Amino acid sequence: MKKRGQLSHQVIIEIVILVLITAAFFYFHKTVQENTLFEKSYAVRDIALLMETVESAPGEIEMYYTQPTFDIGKYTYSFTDNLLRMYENDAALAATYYPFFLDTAVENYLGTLEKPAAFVVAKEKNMLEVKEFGSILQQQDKKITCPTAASTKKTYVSLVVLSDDISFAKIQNDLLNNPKLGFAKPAKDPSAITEKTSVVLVLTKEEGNRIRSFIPDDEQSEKLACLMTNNIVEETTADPVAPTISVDTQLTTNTNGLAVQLIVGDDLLEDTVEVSSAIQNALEEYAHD
Amino acid sequence: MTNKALFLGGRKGMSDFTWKFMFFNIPVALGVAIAMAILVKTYITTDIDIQEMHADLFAYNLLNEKDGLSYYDSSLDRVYPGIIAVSAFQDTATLEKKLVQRMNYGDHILIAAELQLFTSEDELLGTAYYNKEWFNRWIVLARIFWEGAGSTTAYAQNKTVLLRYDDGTMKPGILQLIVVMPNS
Repeated sequence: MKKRGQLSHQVIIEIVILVLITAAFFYFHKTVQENTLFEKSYAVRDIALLMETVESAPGEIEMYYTQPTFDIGKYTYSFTDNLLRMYENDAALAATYYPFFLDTAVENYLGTLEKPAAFVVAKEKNMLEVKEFGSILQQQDKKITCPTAASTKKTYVSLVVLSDDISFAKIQNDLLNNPKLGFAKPAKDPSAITEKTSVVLVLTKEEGNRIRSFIPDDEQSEKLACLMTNNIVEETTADPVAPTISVDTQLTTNTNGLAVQLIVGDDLLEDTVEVSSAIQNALEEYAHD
Repeated sequence: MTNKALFLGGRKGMSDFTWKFMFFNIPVALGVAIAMAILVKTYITTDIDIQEMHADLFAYNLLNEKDGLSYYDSSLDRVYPGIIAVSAFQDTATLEKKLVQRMNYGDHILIAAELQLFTSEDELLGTAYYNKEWFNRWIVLARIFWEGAGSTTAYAQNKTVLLRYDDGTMKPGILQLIVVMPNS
């Protein structure tokens, strides 16, 4: 006759099995979703075969292993007991592995490399060694998003560059005297701004390392300001700020042209060559887009 | 008595039915799990088959290895890949020992091979093995009908080499390799 406890044991066993199956599925699903299963499987074979090739090379050899197809620094690599194990974080038990042979006549210095930037496999002076190489540099993309519209105000006839600070003198001269930009009428006087002026550029200085801009309510001017900002960011350590719409008369007079007020942090003006070339490049980029 | 109770045969019948159902519960759950795993594996590539390439690479490694299959001049510390000393195939025990030392997989034996050296006139000069014990086991499995996991695969290839005799003369010859690897 059935007792109450018997059914409970059965239920507990079933629950345990279900939990195990669910956990296994979740692990499998996670690795597939993150695409690391295939990546590890590929990389572990690739490296193991390269290890064997290096060992078999008749002379001395150094092989630098860098891979553009996956992030080497995401994994730990263990070269022990004729096995290459590759795993994420501390999950050594869940490592993907592949065997490789060792030349017993060669002294080997193999160990574990934790998240290396890259590594080098070297067979020199009867020694086999795998060591870390390089370092990981985290580069943050600080560029701002520019309008994707095609350039429509490409007629560069008259250019007015205004500045209220002596530190912009070189930039102002570079812009006004650059024959590559092709402005027939360069000027640095506010009275030269008319409705038909092609480009108005106002340069202002502020403290710090920010690069800001003011523009009229015009997408083409926004595009030019954005190109200037991004070019300066590329050349310097500037912190960019997206363009802001302004109703300043200096920016809104030339309704047929482009107008940008650049506010440049004084930290960026220690070497004006970079800022100057960044602005000129932006004008060229705009014209050629 | 209701129709349901009739079908189950009353209280006792109901108890027996519950137990029978419980008995099948676990295998059914496992069956469903295995079916799901098979379905997922069918659609997602998780295995990369490099067996044939590894066998090919192994053959090249055998020929390039310092103090391995190819002739090695110890006074110059120089290997001549593709030039094989005929004398090495006359003392195969030494050659086999040397190859296992030079290409040692430790506890994870992955490859075994048979190496036969022929003259260009098909005269057999000698037969050596890499992991002889495993080659003799695996080559049998490679020749049966089963090709999946648990079996082995053999890859045969011929390499044109130069035979170096003790008097320094060299003649063309053929190195025939049969590389056997387990399928899983």
